Amino acid sequence: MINSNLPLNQDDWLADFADQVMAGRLADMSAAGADDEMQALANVVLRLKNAFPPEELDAATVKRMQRETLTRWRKEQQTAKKSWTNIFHLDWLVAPNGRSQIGWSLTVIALAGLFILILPVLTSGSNNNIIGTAGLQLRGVIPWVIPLAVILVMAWLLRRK
Amino acid sequence: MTIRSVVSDEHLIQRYKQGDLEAFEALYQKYLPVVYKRVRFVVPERDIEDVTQEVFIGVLKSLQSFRGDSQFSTWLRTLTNYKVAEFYRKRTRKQDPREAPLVEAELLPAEDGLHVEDRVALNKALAELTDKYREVIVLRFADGMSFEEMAQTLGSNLEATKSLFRRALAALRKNLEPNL
Repeated sequence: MINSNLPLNQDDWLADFADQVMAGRLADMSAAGADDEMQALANVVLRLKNAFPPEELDAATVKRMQRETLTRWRKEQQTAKKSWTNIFHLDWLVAPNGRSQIGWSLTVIALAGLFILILPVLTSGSNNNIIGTAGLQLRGVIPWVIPLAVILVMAWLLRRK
Repeated sequence: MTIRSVVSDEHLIQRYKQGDLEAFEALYQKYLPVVYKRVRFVVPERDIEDVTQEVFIGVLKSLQSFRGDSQFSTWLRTLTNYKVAEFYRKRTRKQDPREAPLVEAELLPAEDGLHVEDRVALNKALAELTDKYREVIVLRFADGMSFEEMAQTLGSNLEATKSLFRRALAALRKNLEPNL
């Protein structure tokens, strides 16, 4: 006849066995009466207890770990801050490695793109000008303003380094 | 009497939020052994300190946003589990985890003998368990909780917790089988 309470009894038995092992009242396989499955699980309990004996951290280790944790945290904070400020200071544009070249290339492409976009605006419009408006005078100035602005931006970026 | 024995976690957290780093240090000294024990169960020997540090760096970063909806110890346990999971995610990307126990066994001091080898095997077997199974084992053996406390922590009743514990040990045994 199968005992319907067996699973619950097994649970209780194993929990009690673990409690006794953890309390140091059992140090070996005192699982008499338990079936093979329970004996095997009791053996796992003993293995866990023996493989991880209580280990107290000494004061010096605690102090060292605390110091290292705070040092790592401060370093991480500085690195995080630096990466943001790098973006705003455009340091990547003048970095002494391949990133500098990528930065310059992107800048040149962006400026060339901008110039191509505004080129039609600069060159068209001579047919529909109304003589005597301020627009006509400005169009004469824009082709000089753009390269001048580019030169000024380049000079500013280089001055930063 | 030391600061950590008289001041509550809530008070220390409040002081830390106001910029008092000494309050964090008091929390650190109180909870380092707790976190260390938990990490030691589920992380290889050589990585215990590193993962423990990661947990406390996580505390430093997130404590400002801690609202106190749960106890600090519960929040810290969740953070520890998250950092352990993160450790295994990074490690899986870096190397074949099946090779790891051999490497670790070579690096460990020899005087611990059989226990060291068994710890490596248990570490690996525990890491392969589902979160639920691993948690119930760690609560009993690493955190040293009674079954009543475990039931409360898991939001379950005593019978269900004991049953979960037995099933978790059975799963752990199965994971250990190649090492038996």
